[in-house]
Amino acid sequence: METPSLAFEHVNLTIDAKTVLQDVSFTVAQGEVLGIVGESGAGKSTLLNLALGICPPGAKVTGKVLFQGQNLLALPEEELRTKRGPEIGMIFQDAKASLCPVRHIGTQLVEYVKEHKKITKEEILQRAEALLRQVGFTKPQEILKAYAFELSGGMNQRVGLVFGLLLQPALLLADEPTSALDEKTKQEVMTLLAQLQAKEARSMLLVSHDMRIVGTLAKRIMVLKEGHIVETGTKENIFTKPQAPYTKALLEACLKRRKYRGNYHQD
Amino acid sequence: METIIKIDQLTKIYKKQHSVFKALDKVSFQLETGEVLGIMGESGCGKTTLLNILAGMETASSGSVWLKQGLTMHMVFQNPVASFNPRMTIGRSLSEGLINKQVPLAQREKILQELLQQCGLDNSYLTAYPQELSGGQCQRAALVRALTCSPQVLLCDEMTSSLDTITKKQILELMKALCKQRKMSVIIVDHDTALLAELCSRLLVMRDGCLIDEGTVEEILPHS
Repeated sequence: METPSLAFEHVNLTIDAKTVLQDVSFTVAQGEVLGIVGESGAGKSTLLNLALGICPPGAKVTGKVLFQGQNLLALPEEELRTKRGPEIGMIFQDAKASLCPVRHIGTQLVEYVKEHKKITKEEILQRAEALLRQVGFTKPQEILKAYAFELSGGMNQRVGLVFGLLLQPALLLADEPTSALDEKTKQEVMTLLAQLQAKEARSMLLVSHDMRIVGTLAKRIMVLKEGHIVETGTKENIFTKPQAPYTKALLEACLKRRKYRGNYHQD
Repeated sequence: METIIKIDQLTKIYKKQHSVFKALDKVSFQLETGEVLGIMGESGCGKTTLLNILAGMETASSGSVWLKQGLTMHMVFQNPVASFNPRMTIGRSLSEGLINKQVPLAQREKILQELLQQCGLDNSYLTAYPQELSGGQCQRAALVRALTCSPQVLLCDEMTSSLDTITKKQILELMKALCKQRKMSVIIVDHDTALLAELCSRLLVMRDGCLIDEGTVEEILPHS
């Protein structure tokens, strides 16, 4: 059998006496997208951090987090550093806080890529510009020269996407990658992610509250509640035949979407 | 109905080293008592800047903001974790407004307890630090903080973007109830058209710093 891209084996995580994750086991096959849904505080972000080999301070972890068969929790920090970015990419929930406030976006992108790959600054900027265009920026040069605080919430989030995608990691962890985006930009970003997914067969762990987004990208969905897995299934099963009452409640609370009659986007 | 906020020809220009950026371009609108006004538009169109100027956190380049005398406002920020002091417990942060108003301890506790419960949090969060909470929990704490001093106007900047469907629905119901009970006015910036349709009485649409559309929910977001 093929080694899964990512596997959690009986992972428990406690901070002081509080259980954050409880006997969490799942796998993400090569090229598979696994969607994770669940209420706030269910442990979704903690789970993604663990997949990067990051434990919250003061936490006790048991079990294994295997990335291509290697237990990340047992790896030394130096080795983890070489994996974070080029092999395991992360799109953070709070993109602005993940960027350095006193340096230009472009400078940070160049530094980030140079740390892992031997390519010239010009080439990095060229690739970054192309990706920035793909996530909906019409003037990528201006974004590269901007500071994080000069950009809006949604713009920062898209910059975060570029950081996550630039090194073409084998596994992408996305923590609510579209929460601050308007409908049309959201659509564009989803299309981009789906295209990249089809082309590069990247494995992906996608956390989102937007059922439609999870449904578009993921074939399999995992429902998390208070640190344990409530239900895992194909998206058809989860959406049409949810077993657990909690999954039903999550789906029932979805608001019906409405369309804006006009068009506030530039063509 | 009485006009409580009047914004006239509001313009904001950010100057950079080599260029200027017009974040707001002659924006004018009014807010009445008890009205829930929604603002939508693509990212970077000036929604947050508009709220920041209304809250007095940024100054406008030209134009005017008129507020009714004695009007109280509170803001729920887009980034909840960053809006809390990392060295204070949530309880301390939530009490600050009430302490400033010299509300006695017993009453403070009562107000907080009630609001926490309404927003789906319990007392254990009072001793936690913001970085220990998840994004959605922090967002709800930020809403509690904004409501403690019973503001007449609530400014919400993408308040629900990090909430799951169940919590979102809860917050939506809570907001509806509060608007009714307290006659609170709300200006809400959000991308979720379904939420705006449920909550708002009127909608504004922005693009590149300009107001390009204005109307009732039925006009702007018809059932389709």
